[in-house]
Amino acid sequence: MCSHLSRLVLIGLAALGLLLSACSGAAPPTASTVQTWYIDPVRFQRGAHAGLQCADCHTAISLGEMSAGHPNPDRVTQDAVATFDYTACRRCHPQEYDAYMHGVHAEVASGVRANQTDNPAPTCGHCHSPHYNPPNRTRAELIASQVATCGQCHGKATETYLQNYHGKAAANLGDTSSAACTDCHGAHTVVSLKSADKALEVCQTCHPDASVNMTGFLIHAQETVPAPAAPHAGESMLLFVTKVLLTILVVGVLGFFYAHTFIWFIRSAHNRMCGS
Amino acid sequence: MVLTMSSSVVLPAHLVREQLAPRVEYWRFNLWHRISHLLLMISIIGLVLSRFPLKFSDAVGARLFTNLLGGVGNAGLIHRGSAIVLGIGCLMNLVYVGYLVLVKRRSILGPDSIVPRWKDVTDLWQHLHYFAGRAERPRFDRFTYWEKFDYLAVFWGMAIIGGSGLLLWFPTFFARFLPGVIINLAYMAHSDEAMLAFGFLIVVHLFNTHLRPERFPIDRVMFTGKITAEEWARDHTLEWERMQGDPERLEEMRVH
Ligand code: HEC
Ligand code: HEC
Ligand code: HEC
Ligand code: HEC
Ligand code: HEC
Ligand code: HEC
Repeated sequence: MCSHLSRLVLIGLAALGLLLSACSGAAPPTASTVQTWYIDPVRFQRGAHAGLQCADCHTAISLGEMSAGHPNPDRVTQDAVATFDYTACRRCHPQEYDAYMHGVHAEVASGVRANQTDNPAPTCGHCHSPHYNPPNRTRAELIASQVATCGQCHGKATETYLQNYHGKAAANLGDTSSAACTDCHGAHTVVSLKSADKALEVCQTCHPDASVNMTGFLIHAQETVPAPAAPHAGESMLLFVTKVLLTILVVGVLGFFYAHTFIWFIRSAHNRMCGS
Repeated sequence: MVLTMSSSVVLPAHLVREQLAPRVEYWRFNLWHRISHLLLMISIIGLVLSRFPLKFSDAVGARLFTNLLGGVGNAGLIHRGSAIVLGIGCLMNLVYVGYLVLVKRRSILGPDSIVPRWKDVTDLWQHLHYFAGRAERPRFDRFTYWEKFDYLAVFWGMAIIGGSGLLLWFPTFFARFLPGVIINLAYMAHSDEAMLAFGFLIVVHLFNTHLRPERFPIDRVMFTGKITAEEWARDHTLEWERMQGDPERLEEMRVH
């Protein structure tokens, strides 16, 4: 009777453990850009561009496209974000516009640099909602939105960024002294930082006594087996091997002692219940 | 009358027995040991509370908890303060070992030492058989094998977690003469080993010392330093028996 009971407890706990381990694992986030042609006036009036006329940006309207009737209905089927003429933004945001034009994203958009990815080169509209962009965002809000903004296209870089101090502190915990994507790369200049000199300059804005070795700290560290030609393949391999060894150590030690503790508990409970 | 009745309802049987019998107690840990243990305990709780919200920064409540601590920067200060306290606790132990060896001229390889011996391996083996109901409970000396592991694991942790922690504390300094990727390794080791230490302490250490049915709810020895004759004879039989041959020293160790 008594040994039955402890066996039952054992089986029950094991089943619970299996259940718990099966329940972990979340659904991947889905990024979708749903295009709607309805502009909500209430939300528009709460945004940064509240005071503006539609024609301030939709210059085509005032330029006479409208005088010939409704704009070409084919436009409905086009991706408005990609086809919009963003020179309109320049009139009021010359600094951002010019910075953007000198950055990697504009190079890729204009074809100066080949796009090595499946993502479109971002225009103003990929990163900002022209109609509903909230006004006067604080640094904390700007940081918080970046993971989503840059993450649409740079999923891997965002994921790795969130695995070390800067990302955890800035993006997840709202620490404004830590570094966000744009603190290192710039929002519009988009510096690649693959050259150590440029990276060092950036690090030194917050770590004034950083030396060039510091840039060898991988902000976007891959802890997987790298493709042979991948950048930092040697370091990735080193990190991967270390990760595997550490995991074996942690799982081995904890596994052994948890099992030890568990059967000890069963034995003690058994002794108690059966009075031996 | 009412009091004893109600206490016998609330307290486990062995505690009631302890209350009723005239207690003969002996010193197991001196003040130095107890203070260093207390320092370790408090500092490790501080270390875990201040930085686990960063490790699991995307978990529910991590942000709220961090804000309660005064932000990520403040949590970092608490973490580093706790690390210093932990270092002091460990140093106290090393000083004690030095004192035993250099002043008291004691060997640290004897049966009552915390240094592992072959007997610990056989004890573990026998204990496992005992769990399976196939052997007698092993007779332990002053320190059981799991107590030795608890103790030595602190130094193992101090070397790896403490060392990597210094690297993360002063990255610009260490990057002067080490390649930057070492900081990535340090971060990884720091985080994983901390997980190991925490996972060990919260389950294994807590259970072995406090939550086992025969010890529940708390094992006071490490806090009061005193062990009853009954517990001593049961849990550290070999040492107890050896002591019977040395009544003078036994009397010295008795709590008056
Ligand atoms: C700050 C500049 C700006 C202002 C002001 C503005 N728009 Fe737009 N609009 C854009 C941009 C840029 C796009 C390209 C698509 C995108 O980024 O959403 C666009 C796209 C559109 C579209 C295409 C569907 C879509 O959402 O992509 C419609 C319809 C539209 N705007 C209507 C309006 C109306 C109506 C107003 C006035 C209430 C207005 N816009 C004011 C910049 C502006
Ligand atoms: C007619 C002038 C004008 C045009 C054209 C214009 N903007 Fe603006 N924009 C403003 C004003 C005014 C503000 C509010 C500035 C402030 O609150 O400091 C603003 C604010 C913004 C902000 C938010 C700043 C913040 O506080 O977070 C963004 C982003 C922005 N504009 C993007 C764009 C984009 C993209 C375009 C082109 C599609 C555009 N703007 C076109 C006038 C303009
Ligand atoms: C790759 C994404 C991206 C693109 C493309 C982009 N921006 Fe931005 N922009 C940002 C981010 C992120 C910020 C927030 C500022 C920060 O974090 O430094 C920002 C901020 C701004 C601001 C507000 C400045 C401030 O300090 O609050 C304006 C205005 C702006 N952008 C205009 C533009 C215009 C005009 C374009 C197109 C020429 C453009 N942006 C293209 C990402 C982008
Ligand atoms: C709409 C997609 C998109 C968004 C949003 C976007 N990017 Fe990009 N980005 C690209 C593309 C495409 C490239 C070119 C990649 C290539 O060819 O390797 C690029 C290149 C870069 C590079 C240079 C990489 C290299 O290999 O030299 C950096 C740095 C960068 N982006 C940072 C950012 C940051 C920071 C943000 C957010 C503020 C952002 N990007 C948002 C699409 C995007
Ligand atoms: C602390 C500074 C820092 C922050 C914060 C940072 N990066 Fe980087 N990033 C770098 C450096 C340095 C490199 C160059 C790495 C190398 O040597 O290849 C880089 C490289 C990149 C690249 C090109 C290499 C690749 O992996 O494709 C992209 C894209 C990029 N970062 C995107 C982002 C995005 C998106 C964010 C925010 C989610 C971000 N970065 C945050 C420093 C930073
Ligand atoms: C916007 C500011 C900012 C920038 C830019 C920045 N950092 Fe940091 N970094 C921080 C802050 C804040 C901390 C936390 C410092 C602390 O707690 O001692 C930190 C911590 C670190 C740490 C220690 C990590 C840890 O786990 O404690 C390293 C390593 C580091 N940064 C490397 C870099 C490198 C390399 C760059 C350049 C590519 C860089 N940082 C750019 C703000 C920044």
